[in-house]
Amino acid sequence: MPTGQTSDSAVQEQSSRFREVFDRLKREVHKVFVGHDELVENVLAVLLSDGHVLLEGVPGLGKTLLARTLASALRLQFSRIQFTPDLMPADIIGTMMLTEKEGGGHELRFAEGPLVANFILADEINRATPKTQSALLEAMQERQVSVARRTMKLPEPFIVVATQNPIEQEGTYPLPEAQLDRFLVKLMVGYPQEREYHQILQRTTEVQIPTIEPVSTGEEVVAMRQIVRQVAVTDQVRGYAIRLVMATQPGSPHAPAVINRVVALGSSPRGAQGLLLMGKVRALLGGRFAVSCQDIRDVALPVLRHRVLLSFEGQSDRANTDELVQAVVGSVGELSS
Amino acid sequence: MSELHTDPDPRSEMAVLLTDCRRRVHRAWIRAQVPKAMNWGFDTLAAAAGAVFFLQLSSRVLGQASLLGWVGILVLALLAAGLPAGVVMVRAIRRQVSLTEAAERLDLGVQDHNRIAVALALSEGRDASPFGRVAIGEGLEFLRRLHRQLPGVEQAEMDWKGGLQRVAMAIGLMVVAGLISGRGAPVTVAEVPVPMGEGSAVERQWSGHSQRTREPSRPATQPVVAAVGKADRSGAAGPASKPAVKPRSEPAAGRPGGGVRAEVNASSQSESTKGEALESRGAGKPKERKTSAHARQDRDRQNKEAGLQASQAQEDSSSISQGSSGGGGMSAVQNNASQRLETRGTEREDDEADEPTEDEKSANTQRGGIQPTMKDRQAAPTRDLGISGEQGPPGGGRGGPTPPKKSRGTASLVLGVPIPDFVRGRLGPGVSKVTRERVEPAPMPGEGAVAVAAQPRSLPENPSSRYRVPPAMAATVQRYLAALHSADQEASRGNDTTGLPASRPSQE
Repeated sequence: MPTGQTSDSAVQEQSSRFREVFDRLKREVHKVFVGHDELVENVLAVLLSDGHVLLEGVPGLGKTLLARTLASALRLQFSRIQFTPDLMPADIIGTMMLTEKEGGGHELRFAEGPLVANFILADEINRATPKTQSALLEAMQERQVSVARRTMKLPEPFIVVATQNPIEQEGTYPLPEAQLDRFLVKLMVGYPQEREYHQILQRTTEVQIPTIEPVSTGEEVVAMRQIVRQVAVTDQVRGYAIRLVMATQPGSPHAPAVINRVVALGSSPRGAQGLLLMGKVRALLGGRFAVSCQDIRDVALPVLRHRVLLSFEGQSDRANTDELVQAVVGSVGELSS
Repeated sequence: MSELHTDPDPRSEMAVLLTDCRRRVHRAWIRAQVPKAMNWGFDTLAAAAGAVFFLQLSSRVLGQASLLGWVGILVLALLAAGLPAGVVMVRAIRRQVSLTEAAERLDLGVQDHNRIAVALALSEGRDASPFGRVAIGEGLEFLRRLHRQLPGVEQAEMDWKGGLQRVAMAIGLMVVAGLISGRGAPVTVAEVPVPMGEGSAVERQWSGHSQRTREPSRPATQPVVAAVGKADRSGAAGPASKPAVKPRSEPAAGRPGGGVRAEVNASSQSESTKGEALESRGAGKPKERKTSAHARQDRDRQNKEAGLQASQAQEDSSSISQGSSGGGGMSAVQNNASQRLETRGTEREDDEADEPTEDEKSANTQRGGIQPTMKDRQAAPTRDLGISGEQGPPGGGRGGPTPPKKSRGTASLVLGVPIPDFVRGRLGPGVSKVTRERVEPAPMPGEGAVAVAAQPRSLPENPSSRYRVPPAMAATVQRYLAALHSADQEASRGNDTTGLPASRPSQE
């Protein structure tokens, strides 16, 4: 049984190791991906808090590049699935194939699809039909795939980084709510700053193309995830996260008036889980050992924005979910009493 | 960070450090409640002013004495403003600030990631995780440094503009209410039997200047109307005049344009005969006039008797004449007979208006109880069963014909096409059910099929055999087919690789 001092030093060491791995990954990603510091931090936070991320942005902003770079920085099995309207569930999960035995005869053998990997890049996920999109549901939540009578556990760590384009709506299928809810965060990729354009052009149009070296492994990611889950959470902070999630639900006692008016469906308990997990990562990155209400507020927007479904009135009023989440954050107080 | 170490009992140290913070939170809380108390006071003051104003106004309109004077209004205003504000402040003073609240509010004031509240909350748990223990030590260090910081207490915002508006409105309403109460008592009619003077009549006491102005003149032949007291005549409705006022006469007298009914009402009160009292009450309250025919007949009979007695007494010029309290164009005091005539005349009109109902009710009751009237009888519904389409009244829940039901579809839009609203036939099969049984294959009983060698068809298969050719065309078709066949043969003989006839016979 370690003494208090030993235990404290071990905790300090774990915390500093976490920050060191995080910074190492971030530096490696930024070798290729320029700017968007907060975006990169959030993607790494999702990776270390055992979640999945949905990147949304117009074409050409580097969504796919970010995912590919992160996969390259990790020594993990990487799969890229380009979602198209004719993609079928069996194309990504795998299927039973009739193969010849060595000694003669035939047998049915499961041929794994690209989903059976550590790092999945689901590019343009909203171009596939809901049927195919839904094939990801089991994989994202239960970390397993089922084909025929066979259920196969997916390797750990498992993360899905999906990208989608918000403007080309023709020929696309919006993600169903159940699918959206499984993404821990939804991150918006915006345009880079002017000074970032210079770096982008330098890195992409000259002879020296930066290369990415793997700086972390799957085992290290799993260990980081264990550290994240040890961060302390008090009742006050937990209650604050719960009130935030409930405030997005129309009709709840914490919901502000605008939520009752324009929101049809609020966040599920997965939203509260996401708030706490992402808050724990932020607490560790801030050198703290317990989650604060400020951590929860910082991650409220990426965690809750895709879990708020607008009502018809909200859509006709062109209500913005980001503004609604901000209103919720502004209306819920920290005090537990 | 490594110098952090957790105290053996960090919670007690935190409690000591937070004691002063609790006091400061309490004081800040009380200060924060002052605007709230003022807002509440302004709100209730405005509400009370409005209520007083409407109360005074309604009492004025109804002719009742005002309930509140200037002093009463002032006291009410002070109570209305002070009571809620006092309640808010007392609650704020009596409020206990817990350690947790002090810690959370100190965190709010410091704005640094809830370190103190987190440490306090984690120190309450006995099985804190390693991360929790480090967080406690960190929060304790933080508290030692910052326990003298100002706690964060939300200040309630004072709405000065709205508050002043409400106060101004309240003052205005109360001033108007006070003026209303100061304008004097409303009209009251006092009846005081006095000894018979000239004319031998009951003197009517009038108080209230408004009613005096409403009455234009009084005939010289009427009995003298004397004042009860000087205070009443001067316009101030003193409480001393109230006992002399019969309550029932007040609304009638105070109501503008009370007219004939008010006079009759007032005169009837001075009479002692039961019939006249009934009559006058009936004149004053129209609803009560709808009584049964029997009661009305009895009343008429009593009225007649009483009227005769009264007229005889008045002809003897020694009887008591009746006073009147009514305003309007009619004389205030009339003799009994004329009043009765007036009353009866009014009643007659009302009776005629109510006649159908009265007759119906009397017809019902005179047969020994309430019975259905013949007018309400309807034809009994037929018991013929069948689909709808019959014209008739809506079904009474007992079967029989019902009006045509609505139907759907294009056919229902065509006039004159009766469409039943259901389709004859058996019921729908319902939810399909699939059952699976595990059955071993077994040979079916019975003889096996006998194989038979296939035979060629007996008749040639050609177009003419499949289609019936009209007799008129039979020869032509036969010639055409013969020519076609011969052409094919010639082509095959001539080694024509195309296999097509060299020339098609033209149709004749």
